[in-house]
Amino acid sequence: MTAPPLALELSGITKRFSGAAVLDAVSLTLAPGEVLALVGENGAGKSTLVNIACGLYRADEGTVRVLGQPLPPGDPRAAIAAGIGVVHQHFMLVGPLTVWENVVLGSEPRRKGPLGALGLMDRAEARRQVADAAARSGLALDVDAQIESIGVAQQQRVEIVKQLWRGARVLILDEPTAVLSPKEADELVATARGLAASGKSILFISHKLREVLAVADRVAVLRRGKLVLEARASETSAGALAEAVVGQRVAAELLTALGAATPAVTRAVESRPAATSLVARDLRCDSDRGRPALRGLSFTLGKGEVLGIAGVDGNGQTELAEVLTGLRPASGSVLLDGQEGLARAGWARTSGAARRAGVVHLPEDRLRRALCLALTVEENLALGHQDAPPWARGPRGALVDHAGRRRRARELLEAFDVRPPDPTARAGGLSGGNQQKLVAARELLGGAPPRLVVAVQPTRGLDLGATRRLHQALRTARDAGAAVLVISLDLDELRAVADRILVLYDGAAAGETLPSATDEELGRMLLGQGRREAKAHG
Amino acid sequence: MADLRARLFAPARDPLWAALLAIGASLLLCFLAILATGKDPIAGYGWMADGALGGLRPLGETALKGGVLILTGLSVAVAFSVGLFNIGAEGQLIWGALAAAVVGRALDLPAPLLIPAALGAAALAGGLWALIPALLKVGRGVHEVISTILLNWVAIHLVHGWLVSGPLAARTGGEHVSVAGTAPIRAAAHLPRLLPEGRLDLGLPLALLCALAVWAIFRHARKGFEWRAVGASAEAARASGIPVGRRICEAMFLSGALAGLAGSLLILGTEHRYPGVFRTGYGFDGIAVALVGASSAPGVVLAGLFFGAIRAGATRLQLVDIHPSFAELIQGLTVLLVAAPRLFAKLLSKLRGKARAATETGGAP
Repeated sequence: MTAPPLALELSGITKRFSGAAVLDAVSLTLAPGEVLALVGENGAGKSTLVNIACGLYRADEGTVRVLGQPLPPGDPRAAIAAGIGVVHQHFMLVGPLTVWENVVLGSEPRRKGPLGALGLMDRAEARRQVADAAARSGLALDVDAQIESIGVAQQQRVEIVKQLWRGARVLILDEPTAVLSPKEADELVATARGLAASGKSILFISHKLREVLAVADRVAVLRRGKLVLEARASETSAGALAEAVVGQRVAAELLTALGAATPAVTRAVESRPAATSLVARDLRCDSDRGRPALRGLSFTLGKGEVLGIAGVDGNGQTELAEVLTGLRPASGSVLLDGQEGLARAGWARTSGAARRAGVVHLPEDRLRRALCLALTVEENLALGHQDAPPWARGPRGALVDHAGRRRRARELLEAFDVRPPDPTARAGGLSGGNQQKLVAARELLGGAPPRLVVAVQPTRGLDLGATRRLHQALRTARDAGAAVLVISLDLDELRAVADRILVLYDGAAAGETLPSATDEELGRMLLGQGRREAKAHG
Repeated sequence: MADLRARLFAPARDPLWAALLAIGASLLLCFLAILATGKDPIAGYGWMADGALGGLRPLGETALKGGVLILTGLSVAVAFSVGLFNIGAEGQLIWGALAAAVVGRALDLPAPLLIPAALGAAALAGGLWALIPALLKVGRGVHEVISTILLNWVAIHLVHGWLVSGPLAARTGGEHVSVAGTAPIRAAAHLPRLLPEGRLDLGLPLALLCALAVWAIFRHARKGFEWRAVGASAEAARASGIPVGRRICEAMFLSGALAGLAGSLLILGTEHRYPGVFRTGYGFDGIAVALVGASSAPGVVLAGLFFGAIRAGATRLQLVDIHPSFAELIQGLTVLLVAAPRLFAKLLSKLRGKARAATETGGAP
């Protein structure tokens, strides 16, 4: 047996939380220079497995070996020293510092001599090392740029370089493409392949089957804590993976929804916009930092229509959602069924007025903006319509209707398959996917039928089943006559759910197209070229 | 700050047990401390228990002080429901006390009208004073801990340094009396005493009524739910259409009103005038009561009565030559022990984890 040691070897990992097995005798191996994709629904055990591999959790049974050496359980420092590097979904970067400062933060190279003994860092050396590490791994980075001034994709590269600089041999990327635009995701896939070619091993966690097949040598599927499929990527298909993930035959619709199959137009009900519901004209507003975010955006949205808003992150999408939900002042005009929202006492002037006008909001930042983590699940379900039956009773809904609330909460939890379906659990205790289901259930079904749905990145972090359910719920709202605005960085999602796609570039409309548009067409508009052409023509 | 506060107030897994354990441990620690000074803690505790619980008169004293502490504890708990740390109960209490003294003197009404009028004026005065930090917070983002602490001193100096030694001071026969303080209130404004002996008055039932009301607001009123939502996440509350600024002002007004009521109980019940110097510390102790009572109405009632008993028994310590400040030690230790596990939970679990890892991996390389 002279084969080189495996980069990472998980054998017989079992982990129970309060008696229930979250991982059940899972064994996985990762060879040097290999990319292994780990796929599974929310709650399938992916994160737990990652946390065991990087020493944050200790397994109840089983061992972790890195390059042949057993890892002491529950010791993150030992895991880092052994060469495991994790790039989390939420970046751990310090905004005002530069790229290279962030990379070396916490283990800065010291200066030689007595000054180094005093703790002074060798800035030139540190910067040089970071630039080297980036260049060696083929990641284009301006190491002197401030973190705040670079985009999400760049920040992700900083995280990767940070792990490489610290000597990571095994990179764990936790849903790395969730925050990226399609083009950026393609670049990341290429980066991952490049790193693997240079001998690094990569554990790539994702929901998106298409990119999984593009990036991985092998694919492992977890379902309810068990390893249900392990296959070479070249020998499996999106269909087989999807089936393994949800444990049943999945409809072609689901595959379309995930962008795993060719996005043929398979929508059962072709929607017919009955009348114009939302008319936005010349919307202008500033971002939090006081820079212009929307620069004269105009569009229309019909009743019973889903309008997808595409765009590279930071082109005004967030601000658009905030303007429409009464959270950000703007100038211009927004008419909802003929009523002006930006006038004095208009429906878009406060979030309360927007709610009363029938606007519901699935915000981008659900932890901060959608949920009160310290409150219970049923209390969170009541938010936004806490003054209306069945959530409240008495004159003007002055009293909490405990019985009605409990009943309605149970219905909503079941309708969206929130796990655990316990109305009295703390919302902060739910997994990320289940929190999003909670928000969607509340916004779409919790109160009166919505007139305008504003959904931002609605399926980010959701698993296959939940994605399908959420898209279905958006279509149901549309079919019930709501105007639905879906803002997403994920073109596949927009293709699956939208009737029309509007591309935002630099705070204005760069163009409009049908979901059947090709990647090239959309890509041109995403980069603002459509707009320039339009200008040239006009 | 928000993190610290969240941890301070985060309901322990079982707040009742946490509080009882903390009380037991602090009694034990104070016992040892008295022992270390060479005094007799058994006698001291005996006298303290006698002063707090030994008969109708001591029990009345405990209940009297407990009533005031329940109100200031509720004041802090209500502010905390919207996520604000009201350190200013002391200042709000002072304005409430002064308002009660002024109305109790100025209005010539029968008791059934005068007492409610004085109580109402006290609640209004305390509430308005608490509205200042609320408006500063909502309008200008001024942190309430800073503004309420500073406003305490503004209240103390305005009232003691100027009003009750100047414009509102009692004058006799055209001469300035040497002692500051307002003139006595009318007899009709005196809170009725409830027991044949001792000083227990209507204050405790009133405080319990307020506790019941606060409990009902938190549990049953939609507004109370909205306050808690604001306290849990102002961003999420705003996004769900709740007018966050207005809710903060409402809760702070109620918080100040409760502290103001606490002040009026002291004036209408026992002082019967606003004295020249009126530094009771009840407002600050309200923070301790709310912490030990886990910010819930029933918890505040129990904690308020416990601290009331300690206060009532404290003076008896002197009979065996023990300084009464040892009673404050008990109070301080209880707060520390209730809050400390939450503050240091992370550190403790980390240390425990390290110890375990060390024993398990032994001398592994």
